[in-house]
Amino acid sequence: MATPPSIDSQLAIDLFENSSPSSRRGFLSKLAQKFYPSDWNHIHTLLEQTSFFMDIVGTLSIELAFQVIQHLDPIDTIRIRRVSKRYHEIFTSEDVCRFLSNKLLPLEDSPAQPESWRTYYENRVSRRWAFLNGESHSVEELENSTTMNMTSFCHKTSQFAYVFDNFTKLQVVDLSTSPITEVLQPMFLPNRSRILLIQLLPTHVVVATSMGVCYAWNLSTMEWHSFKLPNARVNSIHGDGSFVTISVLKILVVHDVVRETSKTYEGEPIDWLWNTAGSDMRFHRLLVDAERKRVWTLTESMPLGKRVVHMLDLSTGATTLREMVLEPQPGGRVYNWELRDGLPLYSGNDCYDFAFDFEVYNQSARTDKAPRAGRLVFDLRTGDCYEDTFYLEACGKQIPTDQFAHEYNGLTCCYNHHFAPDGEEGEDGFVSLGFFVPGMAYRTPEKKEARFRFLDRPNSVKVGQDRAPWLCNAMTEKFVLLVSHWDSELPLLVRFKGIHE
Amino acid sequence: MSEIKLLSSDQATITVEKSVAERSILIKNMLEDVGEVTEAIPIPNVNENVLKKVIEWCEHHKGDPPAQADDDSDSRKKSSDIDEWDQKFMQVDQEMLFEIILAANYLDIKPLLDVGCKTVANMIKGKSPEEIRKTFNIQNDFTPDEEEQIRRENEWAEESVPRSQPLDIDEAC
Repeated sequence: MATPPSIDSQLAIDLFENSSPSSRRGFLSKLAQKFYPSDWNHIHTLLEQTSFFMDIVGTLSIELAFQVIQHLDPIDTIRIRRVSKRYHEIFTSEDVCRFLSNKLLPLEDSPAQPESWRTYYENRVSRRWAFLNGESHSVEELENSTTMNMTSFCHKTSQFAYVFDNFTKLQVVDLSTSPITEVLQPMFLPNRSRILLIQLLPTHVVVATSMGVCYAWNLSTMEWHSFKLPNARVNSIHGDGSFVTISVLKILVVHDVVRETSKTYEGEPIDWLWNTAGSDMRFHRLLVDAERKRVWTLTESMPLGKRVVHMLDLSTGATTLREMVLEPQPGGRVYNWELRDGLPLYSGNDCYDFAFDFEVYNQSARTDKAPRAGRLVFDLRTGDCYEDTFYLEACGKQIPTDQFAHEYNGLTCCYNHHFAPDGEEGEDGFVSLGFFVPGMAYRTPEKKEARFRFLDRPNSVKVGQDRAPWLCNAMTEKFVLLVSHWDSELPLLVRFKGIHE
Repeated sequence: MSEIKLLSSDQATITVEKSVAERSILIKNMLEDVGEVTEAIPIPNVNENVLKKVIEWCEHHKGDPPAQADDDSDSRKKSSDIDEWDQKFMQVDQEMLFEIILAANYLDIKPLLDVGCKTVANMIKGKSPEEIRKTFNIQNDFTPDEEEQIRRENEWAEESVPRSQPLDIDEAC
């Protein structure tokens, strides 16, 4: 007797696949009548598995699942590992950790090529999590630096340059090593002149002096060269890559520290630096983009509100002009406001913003809400100017915050002002004791609210005790350098470490 | 105003404005290739319910500016926020939500796919493992020992205990 032919499954599946939904349903119903209990049992198992897969990762294809998980916060991708074996397997796999590293975390200055993406990802997420929670790994004091006059920080190298001893000495240190190491030992300038400006580049440190001479040290060979400015009316400095730009009266100097060549720009098209109509010029800022060979300048004139941004193309010498009007009108109310400072944000090649911290100082205009941390951002690409403010939340309530101190790679270090939990509340609902608590705030871009955590600090200060403001002068996700406004307190370097570090 | 017909996987014919249907890059390209069509265009992967839902979204968003080409430099400004209308639109059961994602992917409607994926991501964000299991009907298949080990490995990622107010100042300063 011939054995009954086994089902030609491919043919049957093809037929089923190409049928219309109604004929599929009809076929399944008829088929089900022929099931043995063991078949039902098998179907049941399949169904159970299907309901298990009724979650994102299982139901969607891996490409679509990636589309979902790219919207998660990094910390969610760690917590989700505890859901089930399958989730654990997926979220600890090398491929997914690499995807998450590239998608959820801001790029580091040197692209990562880790041996294990899982370790790399866990280190960075845990380090940033410690940062957000203000849980420091260690705190070091920066010696030799109580009278810091000026500072400059380079993200690419984690080096920090500062001027001290009444504008006469400079030093460069590497903040990434523990303990901090010296890169350029403390030194006077060759002619002992006063230092007016300092700019740290990845390979060099450049200072401009009161004599109108600039010095540039190569930080690997310790050799230096000098170049003379057209005049000694030094205004501002900024650098990126091997370019440093310095503006002096009516002239912009662009110096290449590697080739040791300078080029000056003056008259047309550079007059605009100084001749803003009706101006009592307040300050201007420079922003260099070495990769695209551009210099952005921001000129501000009195009365406030008149600002002009220009882009100088270093390859052609051509300039383009953009006038920007800053009129912050939060909530339609009239605010008295004052620009604190205008500082170019981190000047990597992706930087297109001029940002200004500002303060709302009209007491009567305050609402029931706490004063805000605010800044005005001018987007150089679009010419848009927008007010970027947020409220900080700590201890379950919104707390006043004075200003951003520093922002890098999605992390913000700021300090809050007149917040005293035990004291009596003033009219604005907050205590004005005039002390400052450095802390960390984190928010994702476009979010108006952020969580604020106090930063662990070693020296104990009692509530109500007068405090010096601590400003963040340099930060990465690995450390924050806090500098006190009081000469008696040494700057502190607060480090954050990943779980595998 | 020209209209076209779509044929869902369960053989339902839906008439829709051409400009609305063209939110789908798949349909737009198809129409460009074949020119005028009078017959219904078969959409074999999407059933009537889901197709109607997708068209509802396309109708509401027909005036939106065309999606920007992927610009990596803008990614830092990418928002996880979903606009109010879309949030309401996405208040559907999970099966429908998944079907919408699949349909948006198949029909190549990038903004709708984004909204769908963000909605799912928001169901995960800030949730404990147990809450995620409940939300998505996932079995906890760890043995108690495994669970304890994995809990300890990832302990650092747990929300640290909210510090009380006086402690903040005493400890931190």
